[in-house]
Amino acid sequence: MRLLSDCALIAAPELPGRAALLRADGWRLVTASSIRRSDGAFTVLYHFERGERLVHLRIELPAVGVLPSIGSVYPAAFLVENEMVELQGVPIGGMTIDYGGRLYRDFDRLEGWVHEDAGVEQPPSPLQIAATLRLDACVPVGISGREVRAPQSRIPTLDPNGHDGHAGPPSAGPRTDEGGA
Amino acid sequence: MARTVVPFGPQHPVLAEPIEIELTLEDEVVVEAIPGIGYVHRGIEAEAERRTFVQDLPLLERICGICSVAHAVAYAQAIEDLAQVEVPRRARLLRVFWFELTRLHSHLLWLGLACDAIGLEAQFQACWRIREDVLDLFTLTAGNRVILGVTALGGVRRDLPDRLQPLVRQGLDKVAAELHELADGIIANEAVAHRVAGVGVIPREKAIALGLVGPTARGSGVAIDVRASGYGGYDELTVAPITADGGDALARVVVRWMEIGQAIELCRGALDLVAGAPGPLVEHVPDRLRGEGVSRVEAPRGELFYYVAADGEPHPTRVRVRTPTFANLPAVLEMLPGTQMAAVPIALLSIDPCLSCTER
Repeated sequence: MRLLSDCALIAAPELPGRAALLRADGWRLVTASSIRRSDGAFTVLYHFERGERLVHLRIELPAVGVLPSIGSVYPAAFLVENEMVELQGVPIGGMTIDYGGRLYRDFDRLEGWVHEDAGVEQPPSPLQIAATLRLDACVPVGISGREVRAPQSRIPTLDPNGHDGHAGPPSAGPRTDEGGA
Repeated sequence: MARTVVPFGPQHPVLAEPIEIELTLEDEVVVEAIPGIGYVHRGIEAEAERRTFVQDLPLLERICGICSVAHAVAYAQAIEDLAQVEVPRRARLLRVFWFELTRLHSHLLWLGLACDAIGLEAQFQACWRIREDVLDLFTLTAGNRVILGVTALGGVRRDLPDRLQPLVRQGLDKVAAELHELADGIIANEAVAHRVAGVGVIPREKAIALGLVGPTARGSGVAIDVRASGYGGYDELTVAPITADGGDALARVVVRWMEIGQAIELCRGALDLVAGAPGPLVEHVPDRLRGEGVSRVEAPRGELFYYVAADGEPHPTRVRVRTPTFANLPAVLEMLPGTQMAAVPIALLSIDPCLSCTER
């Protein structure tokens, strides 16, 4: 089995320190790769380049572990770390910009960016509120100066009596004795 | 001062693909910009884990239509690294030829879009007309216009017969002559310089700190170009990274313009070498692999990185793709704050964002 050369196996808590050493030595962060194992553990690789040479840091993360972010050392790491959180489920703590597991937009629910610790319930920030309202960002105004948009939100609300919003009487179908003309 | 949050995109006239930038403004000046992606995410990395190594090649080639050759070559190189297979010399040189032709058409496409964004409709049409000549060369040599399908694991699937060489060289000469005529209208055009100079500035130190790649980094004076490492057939050709000072949109225009000429020269150089390099086109790659392989190539937008892991099954355990725009996206955090709202489209376009690549 051929593994990567110039690859150092380190423990998760060592990661920020080792990354800081590489940064100070002029190494550029290329990206990170992660593999989710069948037992819930992860293999995470951080790839660095300097002068056309690659080195790698390998972390074997147990299923219950948390990987510290290197965003404070390499600011651009926030994208790849958010992606690993969302697509692979890698638990990463202390990210400088935390998309709350929603780097890639989910069009089925409200969204927003969370800059605080995702584990702590926080009131919505002005940015989150703005992100929620952006669907109605363009508000037409009539001659009277009042808004002329429809009063209800564009975010649909489901009928509480129905499970899918289609619980009302059928709008088409066979006639019934009561309703038939 | 009151702040206003303006969603830029995901649909915008200068954007060929959807991305949303959440701009926070004070008056007309951007103070914060956070990218929001996910509009064209297709889950290609996950899909690649369910197909065989050979079936993954056409899948990954379709991550992006513009730099399809780059993705195919990068994936093939990662597999060849994993399998410890030596690619025949003729195949390596042919890859260089198609790769540089890809860079040529990609830069021309971007240049046309940039001209369109700043209101130069005639130049936009001229760039795209010249690009058609490059696509004709693709059709001539590969049979396809965009997704070439010429790369194979261990080599290439098509040869370039010597009888086609004069036609290809004529085509390259025609493109070079047309670009020469266009130079006054774009690169030496005072209106262009006034429009893009000082827009989207990324200082050299910031470009290094953010790990930017490709023309975006080289426009900030960072001499980074994977081709200089001599991967594939580039070990037989001289590639000096083209850089420019300034770190603004103008510098990035200059770098790409110069790289168009460099790509034509590299195509010609590869053709010269192919003519004297008979031999096989492909080396056998086993169906089952075990281990890890990495690959880096210089795609038109910058360094493209592939990591492939395999555990002896006929399909990879993991295929990781880090595209150049993914590396350059943090640049918007740096260059947009302080920018006038009206200059945001030019600044964003200047990094040549490719969202199909970024989201995979």
